[in-house]
This record gives sequence, structure tokens and C-alpha cells, in this order.
Amino acid sequence: MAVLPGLSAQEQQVLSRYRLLPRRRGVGTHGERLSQSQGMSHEFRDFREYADGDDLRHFDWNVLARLGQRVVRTYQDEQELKVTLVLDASASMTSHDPAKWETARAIAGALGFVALQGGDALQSFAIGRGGTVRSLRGYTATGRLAHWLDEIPEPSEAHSLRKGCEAVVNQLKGPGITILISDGLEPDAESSLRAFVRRQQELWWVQVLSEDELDPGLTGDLELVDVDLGHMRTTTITDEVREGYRSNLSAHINTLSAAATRSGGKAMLVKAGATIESLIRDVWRPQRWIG
Amino acid sequence: MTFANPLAWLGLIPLWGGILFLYFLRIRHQTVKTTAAFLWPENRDSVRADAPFQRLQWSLLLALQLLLAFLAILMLARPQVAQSAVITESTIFVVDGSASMNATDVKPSRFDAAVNQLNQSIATKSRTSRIAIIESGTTTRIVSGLTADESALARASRTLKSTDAEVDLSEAMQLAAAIGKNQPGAKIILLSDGVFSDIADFKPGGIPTAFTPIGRGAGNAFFRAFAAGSSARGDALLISVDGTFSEKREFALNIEADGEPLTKLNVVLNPGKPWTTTLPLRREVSRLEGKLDVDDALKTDNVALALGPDRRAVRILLVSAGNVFLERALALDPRVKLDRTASLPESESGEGPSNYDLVVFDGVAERPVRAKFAVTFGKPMAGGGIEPSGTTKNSPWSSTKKGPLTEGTGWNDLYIESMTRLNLQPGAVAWVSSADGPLLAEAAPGPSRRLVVPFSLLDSDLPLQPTFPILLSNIVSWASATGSKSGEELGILKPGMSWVMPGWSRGTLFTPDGDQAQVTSETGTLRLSNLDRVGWYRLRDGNRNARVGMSLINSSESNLLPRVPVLGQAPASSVVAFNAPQWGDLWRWIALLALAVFCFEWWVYARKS
Repeated sequence: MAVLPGLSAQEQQVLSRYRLLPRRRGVGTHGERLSQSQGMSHEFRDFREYADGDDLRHFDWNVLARLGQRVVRTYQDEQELKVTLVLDASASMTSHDPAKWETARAIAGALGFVALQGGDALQSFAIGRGGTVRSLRGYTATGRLAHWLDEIPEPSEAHSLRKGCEAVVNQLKGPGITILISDGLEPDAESSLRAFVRRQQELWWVQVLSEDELDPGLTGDLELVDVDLGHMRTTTITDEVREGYRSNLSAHINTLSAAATRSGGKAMLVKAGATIESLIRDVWRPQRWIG
Repeated sequence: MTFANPLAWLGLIPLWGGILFLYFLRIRHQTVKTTAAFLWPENRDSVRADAPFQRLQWSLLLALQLLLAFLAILMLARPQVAQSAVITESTIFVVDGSASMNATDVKPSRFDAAVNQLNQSIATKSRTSRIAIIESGTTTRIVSGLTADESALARASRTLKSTDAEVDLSEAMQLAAAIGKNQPGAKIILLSDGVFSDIADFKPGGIPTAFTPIGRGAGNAFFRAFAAGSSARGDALLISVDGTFSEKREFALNIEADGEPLTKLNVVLNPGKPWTTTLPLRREVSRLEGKLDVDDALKTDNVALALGPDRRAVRILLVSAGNVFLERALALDPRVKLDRTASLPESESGEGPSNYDLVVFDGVAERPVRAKFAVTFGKPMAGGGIEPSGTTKNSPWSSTKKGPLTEGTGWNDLYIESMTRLNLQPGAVAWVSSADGPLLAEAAPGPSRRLVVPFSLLDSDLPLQPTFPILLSNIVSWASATGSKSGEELGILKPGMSWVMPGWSRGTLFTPDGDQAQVTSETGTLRLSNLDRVGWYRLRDGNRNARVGMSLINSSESNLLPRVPVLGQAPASSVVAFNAPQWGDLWRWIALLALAVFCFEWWVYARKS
């Protein structure tokens, strides 16, 4: 199995047991999952390792008897879950703290891997980079996902999140899940998120922020220049100003989180440097991102 | 309001200009890349300026710094408000340190209130006003000469102290007039309770004198008499207690004899009526002490001291060609056993035991005597601490040193046809002095004591003065006062009197306050002055002990009711009333305000940084 950047073999092993759990029905119908729908095609497509929640009707007892492996059968004509992975690769993702980009890329790899393991159709976009991967299916596509992630160079160029999201949204067809991984540090980031919702996407919003962004240690008289937008702001850092920043950041985080969750999506805030293992344990499983 | 240093305002222009210039400088901001510039609030408060130029913006710090600069310049300009006329260009304060000033009818005491008024005047005087301070205690002391130095005056003021003694304010007032003479805008301010004898002969020389009595007047109990005597019916202690209470008071009187409780009496004091009793003394006592257990305004006079009755007669040999005044005056004293002779017998001359306590030479050449005490009226013999040197006439003005010999006597306006000029050797004391030399001198050559009045009684009008019998009585007391059982020398003085101890060259002095000090004398006679506290003073040198009691029995000092004495030719109240000034220089208040502004400015700066 191909190794994804930022993930250990053990973490991949753990993730291979899970599937993405969309909150809304209608974003895709899973043939492998227990469903209200009774009409199913039975054209065999592939085997997949059994995961909790899989319909026992598709469990392959012969493979279990002969090889001792627990697998389920999947069928070609089942409606696939379309998963769109959008990774922000603008300059802000590496500014000040390289761990922020590494964490974002590892999350992208982890959730993309789970999607592939669940037999979902995955397409991936990197904002700020032209590289796009479409129609990845099945765990055999893990190598292509890993290659795509490896090919994205460390972000260094300014790029607007809004423009990047607009470009992705224009390419989306039909309902599905969009996993957007970004720091979201743009004034109109909320409208970017809403654009996905308007396209019948269940938005999974992953906001990655560095320690310095959460609690900045700036002092003195400063001319602040935004690395992505080029905006400038003149200020003298005082306790009051620092407190104002924290307050604005908190409001911004809540706004973006609400934009995702109010439309039936999910949202999480990740501090740069967090491990995939901790995310599985503390967020994804308890909040039913995967299961 | 005026400014003592108006040129200081010129400093305001460059100071404000400098501050404004710094605020015109534009802040140079450091460029920092950030991922979320839009989240940072705008803040253009300039706390540092280091590059040209910007439009001046409103800033609380700028306003505070301009205000601070203004206050600093205002302080340097020394603004002054119009003062009351109390502090003039040259003001001489006379502070009464007498016993009555210890009264507590004003808190903490009249004396402290006087010092507070003085300190207030020092603190609020104008920069150029000069002040002198004179303390009228057991001696008159110039605490500070005329000076405008406030710190020096404040230091001098801290050395002021009250006494338990009666004080003669006339000397201090004359001294104040002398200091103020020829000084521009001179003025004398007397800080006193008015409990002092009239100073009718005070001649201020045209210098205005201000006086307002300190104290409200309060009830006070005190001794009028406390003395032991011996009569045919035995020894007895005469006690008289009086008070200035407006209603009947009852309190205890504790009496101790030789340090042991003797009895406790109940004093019932009716307004305007002294309480008097005679207490029989059934055993021989040396020292007696009475204490009034009463809550009143003055504690000093609640203690009275006395010696036990002296049963000895004073044996006096009068060596005289014949002086009826002297002979009769001495014979009138019941303590005296008098013999008269025209010349000194050989048995009383030179050295050896004597049959007499005192030998008095009157108009006869003095010779060395065996008696312990000798008095000479006229030209004394040479040697023995007092040397005659020619003849002179006495000037009418004289000064008197307080002591047992001079108590109750007055020597001014004494007419003396001619007198011998005396030169005193070290150790000798001039109790009364005139410009032409001592009028009453004492010396203590060896164990004996010698008193000289350097003029013949017949060449003066002293025998016709009231002072004469008092002086003789004092001399008899002087010759009989020492000596007691157990070898301890005892005496009773009034606070402020000098304690003279012939034959003592050193010793340890124990005061009533519990302090002790080593005292020495190179002349063979210890003279201890400034003993101004009521109680027993003890002197010890090896096995030798002497004790003297200071007792304030003085009804005028104890009468604390408001009184308006005469200063010069007019009642004191008719001169300028004294009111403490309220304002003088303002720079201290401005300094306080500037400090507060500075603290606030620093707080604002710290918060913005």
C-alpha cells in the first residue's frame, strides 16, 4: 500500500477501517452501507475490508472461510459518494510555521484515504496550484492520491482563497461532500464556504491555524502586510490591540464554523502540529466524521 | 498672585516646542508579514517617534506631557499668594517654655500648639521673609537667628522644649527687641499662654508685637504650700492645696516619707477656697513628697517636695563694727542664734573645728574662718576664688541668676555709693551682676563656701529695700540647707535653679526621668544648671550621695485661666492679633500636583506600551 505524506503506516492501517460518514442523505448512496433504499444493482465491482456498519448481507463468508479475511463485496451500479478534497496551498499556509502546511496536507491525505477505502469517488484540488486529480476510486488509487500530495510544492505564492474556491465550485457537478482544508484567514472566507453549500455540497470545513496565529507575539509599531492579499494595516501593538485581535479571530472562526454547520456540514479547528492519531481519537470518531 | 521668579516662564517655550516637535515626527513602523492583517484593529496612538514628519494628532500623552511641562515651569516661577500681615520681612518668634505651657487644655499641649503655629509660619512664609526663634526656658536661648532658610528654621524648631520651671519672659522679649532693632519690617510674635508676670518695662523700640494667648483655660489643682517645720508641739507638715475648678472636687493626696508611703489624705476642694491641713510627723524624716491624684490640665504641679524639719539652729557670728540693720534683720529669723563681735576671735580663724555655721563680716576686713560658710559685706580678702580689684560705682541695671540665694530678691534700681570690683576665678558664681561687676558672688574654696556682697551696707540703700530681709533669709537657708542623716546631702530647689555642690568634682547625675549622665568640674565645685524637671535629682560619687528636689509650688504658673499680661505700657491684647497664615509659596502644592500628573502619564504610557 502506498504511504501518504504525513501519515505513518500505523495511522493508515487504522484509517483503513473507517469510512466517511456524511451527515445528510442524498449526497450519495452507498451500496456498501445500510440504506433505506431497497433497489440495488448486483454487478460485482471489488472487495473491500469489512468495517463496522457494513451491511452483513454483502459480507463474503467464503473469503472468511478460506482466507480468514473479513471482506465485503461492492457493486458497480451503486450510487457513489462524490468526495471533493480542496487543499489550500496558498502562501499563508506556510507563513511563520511550516507545521501548519504539513498538518493540512496530512489531514487531506487521511480523509482522502478514508474516502478511497470507503469506495467513494474522490477528486482533489489544490488552491494556488493547478494540479487536480479526478475520479479516484478504490483503495488501489491510494498511490495516485499520495503522488498528488507529494507533487504539491510547499506553498510560497500569494493566492486568494475566494478565487480558488470559485474555480473549484465551478467544476463541481451533483451533490457530494467537499472537504475544505485551509486557514480561512481572509475577510470574505465565509462567502467562499457558502459557495460550496450552494452547489449541494455537504461542506466539511477543516481550519488549520498555527500557534502564532492563535496567540500572536507581535510588539511595537508595525506595518502588517497580508501574505496572500497584500493588504496593509498600520498599528501599534498594545495589550488592547492584542486583545482586539483575539476577539476578531474568535469571531471569524465562529463565523466560518457556523457557515459549514448550519447547512448540515461539519467544522473543526486544528492547531498546526496535531497528529492524525489524535484527530481520529478526539474529533473524527467522537463527532462522527468517520466511522 | 505674583511670581518670585517670572523669568522661568521663558523656559516654557522651548520645553513645549521640544515636546510638540517629537510628536510631529512620524512613527516609523516595522513591516511584518502576517496571515491575517484584517484581524488586527487599527491603532495609530504614537508612543514613540523617530522619523520625520506627520500631522499632529490628538493624544492624551501629549496633553499630559504639556501639562507636566507647564507645572514644572510654574513651580520654577515660584508663584506666591498674598499673605496675611503676620509674617513680615523680619519676624522674631518668642516661644514660652514655662511650666504652664505643659497644660493639656489644648491638645497635645499648649507648648506643642505654640510650636505648631511656629512651624506653620515657617512652612508658609515667603521666600525672602526671615524668621528668628527665641526660646524662653530656664535660660533664654536664641534657637535661630534671623534667617530665610526654611530647613534651618525647621531644624531649629525641632530643638524647642518646654520646662517645668517658671520663666522670666522679659529677658527673651528684650532680646527679641534687640534682634529686631534696625531690621526692616521687624515684628515680634510671642507664642505664650499669657501665664507670666507683666513686663511693664518692655521697650520694643517701635517694633510691633503680636500676642494671642494659647490655651482655653482649664481646671487645675496645685499646691500652695508643702513644708515641714518643727515647733514646741512637735514636727508637722503644712499642706495647702488650691484649684481653679468651677465646681467642688474631691481627690486623694498621697504622701510619702523617704520614699515610703506615709499616709493618704482626702482633699475636698471648693471653688475659690484652698484646702489646708497640718499633718503631724511622728517620726524623723528627711524627704517628703506629696502627689495629688487628680485629673487636671497640668501634671507638673501635682507633685510637691519638701525636706524634713530642721531642728538645728543656725549659729551665726556677726563680725561688725556695729550695724543695727544687719543685726536686727538676722535676729528676726527664728532659726538664728546670733553672736556679735568687733573682730574675729583667733579660735574661729584659720583651720579647725568651729563653733559657728556662718561667719558674717560687715565693714571688717575678712579673714579665713573655720566655719563652713562665710559672708562678707564690703571689700573681701584676696584669694579664695574671688579677687578684689579697685573701686567703682554701680550702674542701675543688673541681671540676676536664679538660685536659692536670689529667690524673691530684686536688684534693679539699687543705689550703691561705691563698691569693690570683683574678679571671679574659675568655679566662682556671680548670682547678681551689673555692668561694673558682680553684686553677689559665691565661691567654694575647699570644703567651705564663701559669699561676697562687694559693698558696704551703709554705702547703699539695700537695707531699705524689701530685698534685704529676703536676702538674709536666703543666706540663713543657704547656710543650713545641707546635711541630713545617713550622710546624704539634701536640698530643695525650684525647677530651673542651679544646683551648686562645693567639694564635688565629678559624679553621676540621675534625673527624675530615669536618665543618668556623668558630670565633672575642674574647679572642685559642681554646678548643675538646666535642671528643669520636677522631681528628685540624685548625684552619686562613690559612697557620697546628694539629692535635690525640684518642686514647682507657684500659684501663678498653676493658674491656667486666660490672662492678659502687660507687654510694655499696654495690655498684650491691644497689640496685633496673631492668626496663623494660610498660604505662602505655592510651589509645594504645584509639585504635588505635578507628581500626580507624572504618575498618571506614566500609567497611560505603560498601558499603551
